[in-house]
Amino acid sequence: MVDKKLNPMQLYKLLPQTNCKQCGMTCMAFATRLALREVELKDCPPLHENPQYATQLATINELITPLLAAEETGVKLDDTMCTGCGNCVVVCPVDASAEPDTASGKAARSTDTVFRVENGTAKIINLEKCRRFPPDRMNCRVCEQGCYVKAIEIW
Amino acid sequence: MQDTVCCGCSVVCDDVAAKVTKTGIQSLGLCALGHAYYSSIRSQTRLKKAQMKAKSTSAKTIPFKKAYEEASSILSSSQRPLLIGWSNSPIEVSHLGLKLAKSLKGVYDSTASFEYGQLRQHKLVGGETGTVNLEDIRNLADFIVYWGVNPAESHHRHASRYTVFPTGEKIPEGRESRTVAVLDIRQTESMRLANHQLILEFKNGDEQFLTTLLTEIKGTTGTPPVKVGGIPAIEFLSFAKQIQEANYIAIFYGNGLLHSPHASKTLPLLSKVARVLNKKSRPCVTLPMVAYCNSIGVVTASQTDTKIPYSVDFNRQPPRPYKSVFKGLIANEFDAALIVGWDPLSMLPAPIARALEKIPLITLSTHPSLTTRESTVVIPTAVTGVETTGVVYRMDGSAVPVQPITKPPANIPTEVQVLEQLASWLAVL
Repeated sequence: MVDKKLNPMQLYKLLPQTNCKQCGMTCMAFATRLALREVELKDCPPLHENPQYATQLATINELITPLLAAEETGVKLDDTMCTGCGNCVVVCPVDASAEPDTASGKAARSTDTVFRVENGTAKIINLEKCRRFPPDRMNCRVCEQGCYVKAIEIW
Repeated sequence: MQDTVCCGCSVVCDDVAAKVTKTGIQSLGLCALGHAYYSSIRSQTRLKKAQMKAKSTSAKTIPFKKAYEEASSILSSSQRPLLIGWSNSPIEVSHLGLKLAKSLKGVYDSTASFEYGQLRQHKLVGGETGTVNLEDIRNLADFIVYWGVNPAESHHRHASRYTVFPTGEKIPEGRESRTVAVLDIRQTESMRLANHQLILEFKNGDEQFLTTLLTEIKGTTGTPPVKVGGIPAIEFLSFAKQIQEANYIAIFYGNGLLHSPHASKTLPLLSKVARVLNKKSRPCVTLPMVAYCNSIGVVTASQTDTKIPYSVDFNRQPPRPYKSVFKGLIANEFDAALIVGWDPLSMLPAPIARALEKIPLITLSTHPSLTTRESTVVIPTAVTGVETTGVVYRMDGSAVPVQPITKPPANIPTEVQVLEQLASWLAVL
C-alpha cells in the first residue's frame, strides 16, 4: 500500500535521474511537479523509450493511478449509508457547470458530473473533476456539508 | 433507460429514469426509497395469484374469476360495506371506487381522512389562496421551514429538488440564498441542513412556540419569556426576526404536528401565522408533507364527484359526510371491507385494526402484508407507475401523468381492471 500523498522523493528515485532535461527541467524538479500533477508522466521520454526503466515506469504508473489520486483528494462516499437524496449532485459546483439542470434540482443524467445517483445511491463517477483536484486544489466541502447522513467524508 | 415518474412517495419525481433488466432494476436519479419501490416488482414474495381463506384456515390459491365472484358476493351480501385505501393508486382508481361505493350504498374513505383532508378546514393547504406549486417554492422561497417532519427519512429528494439546495428565479445561489429552519422534538438528520435547529419541548412546545410567534409577528409588545416551547428566547427571536424579513416563506409540516395531541390548537395557530405574514406582504405558503403518491388525488377525486373531500356515506342520496370511519369500525357498523393498495392492519391503532380484522376483507395488493394475511379474498394488482398508467397528484396538488415501463408478470391485472370486473360481477348478482 502506497502513502495517500505522493512523495516527490519517492518518485525521483524511480525516475532515470540523468537530468537529460528533455522534459525541460531536472529530474528532481520533474518529480516535484509530477507529485503536484502539473506535468504528466509522458513528458519524460527516456522513461518510456528505454526498456531498462520498464519496471520503474510500471511502479510510477501504479503510484499515480486515478484511484490513488482519488484518495489524495480525500473524498469518500459510503454508499451503505447513502439514501440517494441527491443533495451532493445539486450542491456540487462542478455538476452545475457540467449539467446545468442539476443546479435547479434535477437529477444528474449524463456521465459528465462528479456525482450521480444510480440505483438508489449516489456514486462518484468523475472524481478527477472535483475542485479539490489540481489545478484548482480548492478546499471545497459543499457535498460533505449537504449530506444528511454523513455518507460523504472529506479529510 | 426510459424516462419515468416515480410513485414511491408524494414528491413524485419526474426527472428520473429506470430500466428493467433480467437481474433487477437499473435506475438513474431515484432515491433509495424510489429504487426500492421499483425493485419491488421483481420481489420474490410478490403476490401473483389470487387467494382465498376461510376464518382461521390457511389461504389457498384460486383463479382470478373465482376471486372476483367471491369478492362481489361478499360485497353484494353486505349491508354496509367500507371501501378504504386508494392513496397509492392513480386517481382513476378513486373515481371507480366512488362509483362502486355508490352502487353498493357503502362508505368510501381514504387515508386522507386522517392524513390530509382535515387540513382543508384550517385552510392550511397553500395558505389563504389554496394553491401552491413546488416549482414556485423552488423559484421564490427564501425561508423554508420543516415542522415535525424529517425529509431526510421520509421524502429523500424533497430538499434537493425543490426547497433547500436548488437555484431558482429569485434564488441565484441555491442554498446560500435561503434560510432553513427545522423544528422537531428531537435532533434529526434534516437539522444538518438548517440555519435554525429548534428542538421543541415534547409536551406542548409547538403550541407555545406558535402562540409566541403569532404575538411577535403581530407586533404586540410583551415581556419576552426566557424559554419559548423549550427554546431559548434568543434563538426564538432570531427565528421570528428572519421569518418576518423573508420575501417568500414556505412551511412544510408533517405528522409530528398533524398527529400531536395538540393538533386541534396548533393547526389553526399555524394557519393564523401564515395569514398574518401574508397580510404583512410576506407571502407564506403551508403544505403538509403527505406520505403517499396520490394522497392529494383521493381528495380531489372525492371532491369532484361528491363535493365531500373524504369519508363519504352513500347510504342515502345525496351522499353525505360520514362521521368517522374509526368510530364506525369500533362500533361494528361495517360488515365487509374492500381495501385498495393499503395495509391498514399494520398501520392503524390496535383497537381499530382488531375491529377491522373481524369483518370479511377483500384486499387488492401488490405484496403480502398483515392485511393480506387476514383477508378473505386477496387479489394481486400491478404496481402504480411502474406497471400501470394513470394520473397521480403530488403533494402540491399538481396532476402528474404516469406511464408504465414494463408489463405486470403472470397476467396480474391493474386496480382499474379489478374494480371494473367487480362492478360487472356485481351488476350480474
